[in-house]
This record gives sequence, structure tokens and C-alpha cells, in this order.
Amino acid sequence: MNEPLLPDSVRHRIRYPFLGDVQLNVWAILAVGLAIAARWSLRQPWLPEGTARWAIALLPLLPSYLYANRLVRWTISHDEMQRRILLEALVFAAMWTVFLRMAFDLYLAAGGAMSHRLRFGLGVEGTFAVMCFLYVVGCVIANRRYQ
Amino acid sequence: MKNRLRELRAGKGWSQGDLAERLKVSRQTINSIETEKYDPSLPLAFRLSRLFKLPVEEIFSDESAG
Repeated sequence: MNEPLLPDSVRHRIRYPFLGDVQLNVWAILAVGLAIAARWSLRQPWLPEGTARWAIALLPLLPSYLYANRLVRWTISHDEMQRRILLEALVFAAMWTVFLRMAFDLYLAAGGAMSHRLRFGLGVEGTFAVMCFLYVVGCVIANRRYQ
Repeated sequence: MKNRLRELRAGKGWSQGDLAERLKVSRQTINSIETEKYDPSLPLAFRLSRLFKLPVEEIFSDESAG
């Protein structure tokens, strides 16, 4: 008879590793925070032209690189089936993000009505948020396929 | 691909978790192999073969082969 398909952390009543998730995503949180701060700073008239602007604009790249590095190491630490699930979820998210982004841009180009905030498109942050959402959907689909 | 993993594991009296620990994979991976939803890689198949002291073809069989 099949054993229940619950994550080991739930089955053995181990606490959900919230801190582990925070540690994994800390660079992403920092990158998003810095990107928002940089975007706000670059709009301010008091910011001088030149090197400072470039430095602020490029600042979110460092935590982004560190996050990508940590994510790759985290992915490698999984076993082969979990890696396959992650890969399938990432491909699902990437492909659907491209399709949705193209469809959305075409819709706007065709004069489609949209709220004030979205009339210039989704932007980088919006696209990233859509991709994160689709990644979660992809994980659910891939997990169900192998269970 | 068909396999006898459940039968072999039961023969040893191991739980899916025990087998997963011996093979250094997750319990979900063992479950997916047993339910034939996931075909293991060649290195994992050989690890199973060594663990059960059986040739790979006695654990796994290809349905499409005549």
C-alpha cells in the first residue's frame, strides 16, 4: 500500500523551515528592495548626474548575482527527480511568461483598455512577479505529475 | 518502464524512507519510481542494483521491448 504523499517535514512533524526559505531568498529580497530604492532615487532631482547615478542603477545587480549563485547551488543539492520538477517548473514559467508578455504588449499596442498603472505594460517587476506566480503553478503541476 | 522496486523493498522490510536514506534521494523519488511515474537515471538504477545485489534488468524491465 502506498505511503501518504506528504512532504517529510509534515509527515515527521518537523517544523516548516521558514528560516531556511528566508536564507535562500534573502538576496532576492535585497535585490528587489534595492531595485525599488534605486528606481525611486533615480527619479529624484537632487541626485547629481554621472557616476553616482550609474552606481545606484547597477547596485541591484550584485545581490541578483548572489541570488542566482545561491539558487543554482540549492538546485544542485536536490536529488534527480526534484531537479527535474524544478526544471519543468522553470521552463513552464519562462515560456508562459514570454507568451503572456507578448500577448499583453500586443493587446496594449492594439489599443486595449488597461488601468492607469498598466497602460505602459507590465515592466520588469511586473514580468518578474508573473514569472514567480507561474513558477509556483509549474511546481504544482510537475509535482502532481510525479506523484 | 516497469520495476520490482516495491517488491524488493518489502522483501528487505524497509520503508520508502529507509530506502531513500540508503540511496541518498528523497522519499518522494522512491514513491514515484515505485508507482512508475518516474524512471530513474542510469546512475540511480545502478545504485539500486548494487543495493539489492541484482542486475539492473532484474529490477527494471522495458515494456516496449518485445
